[in-house]
Amino acid sequence: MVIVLAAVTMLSRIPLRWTFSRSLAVLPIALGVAIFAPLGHADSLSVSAISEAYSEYSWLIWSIVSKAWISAYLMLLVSSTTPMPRLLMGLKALKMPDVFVTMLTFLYRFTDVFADQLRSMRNAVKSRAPELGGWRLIRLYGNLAGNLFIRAYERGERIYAAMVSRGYTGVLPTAEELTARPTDWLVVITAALMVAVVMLY
Amino acid sequence: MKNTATIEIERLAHAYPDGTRALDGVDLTVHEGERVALLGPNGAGKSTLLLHLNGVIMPTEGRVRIGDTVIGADTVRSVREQVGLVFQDPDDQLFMATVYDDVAFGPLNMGLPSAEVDERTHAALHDVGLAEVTSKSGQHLSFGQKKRVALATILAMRPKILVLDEPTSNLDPRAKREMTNLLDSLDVTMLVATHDMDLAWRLCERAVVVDKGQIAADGTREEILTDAALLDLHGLELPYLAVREAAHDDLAGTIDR
Repeated sequence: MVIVLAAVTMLSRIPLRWTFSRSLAVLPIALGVAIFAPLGHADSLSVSAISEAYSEYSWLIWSIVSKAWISAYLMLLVSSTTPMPRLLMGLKALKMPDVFVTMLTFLYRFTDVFADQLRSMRNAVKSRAPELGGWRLIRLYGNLAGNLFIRAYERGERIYAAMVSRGYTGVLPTAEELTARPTDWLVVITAALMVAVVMLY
Repeated sequence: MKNTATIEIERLAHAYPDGTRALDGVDLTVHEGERVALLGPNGAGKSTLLLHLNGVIMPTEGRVRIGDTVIGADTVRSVREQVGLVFQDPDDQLFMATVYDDVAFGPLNMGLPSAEVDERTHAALHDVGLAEVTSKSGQHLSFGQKKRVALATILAMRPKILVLDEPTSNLDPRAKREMTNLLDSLDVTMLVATHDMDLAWRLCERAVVVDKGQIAADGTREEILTDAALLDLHGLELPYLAVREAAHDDLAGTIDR
């Protein structure tokens, strides 16, 4: 497994430290879930039953955590080697429902727009209230959040108007249909192998 | 049969749900091939008027006719293929993951075959001088580029009538000049809402002033855009280009004498 991961990482030409350090972020969450996994095998909730389940099934924790980490690591590799538009097209080609692809498309397109708005609002706050703290700061951020929500809502309406103006009926059309070329098949086979490796593991 | 590239607006009124009467009895006819500047202060009702022209907003009273089609629930879809509406904020208009997808969005919705969609998309991006950004994401463009891609998304639909909301707002002088030249090169009926008086002067042969939801003045470029008192009354100003041309004429006169 480690060899496969190392090979893919080398091929991706992305610094190991970059992917590795980021992939660790999944550990607390995975551990939080995994720590309770052996409980499912306890016959009753007595101390002895629980401790027996834990001594017998503690490998479950390791299994869940390591799988979560491997998935996160591979996801990082995919998302940092594939441009987002192609990733979205890929999801569509994999028959992900249109609504989700549309939502992800908008999320990708407008995250930066809203981040910009938030940044300029924060700059406005900094210029007028440089030393705000405590409750007043929290209340202020409540206002900012509300403001951002309303702006997002209004932008949503304008985007929808722009969409219907160009004949939108509820289905997002894609121009470039992905068609498989020989090299793509190679990728698919490699990907299938990767999945197989993860599953066998 | 009448040509379809005309706009006829009759006694149009629109009240928003909160009771604001954004438009209050507008009569306006734009003939085929005309380029009309729609001028007026903020909140005069310009944008509301534009949104009526392809049925994004439906009239509270009165009616809008494109060619011989009255805009209604049953005709609105065909009207949208004839009237292209370019929004002021390009971030509202560019919502797909890539520039290509954004420009192809309209033609695809029109149900055109994919070869033609592709041809139109490339042609439109070429027309606005941005053939090289095709596969980029909208968020990675400069503001001026975004404005031009927003125009391309409409040009790809090849509308007979082009309706533009502030095509030069927030652009730096060079981008403004490029946009003006670009619009000038297009051969369609045009209605342009703008605060950019120079754009109005350069592009349009006719100007309409809207204020408080009504048409306050309607005339040729020279009649409206050189009437300082009229423009001032409605929160507008003389186009610099008009002033300069007049000064130039005066000067030429002096030299001649």
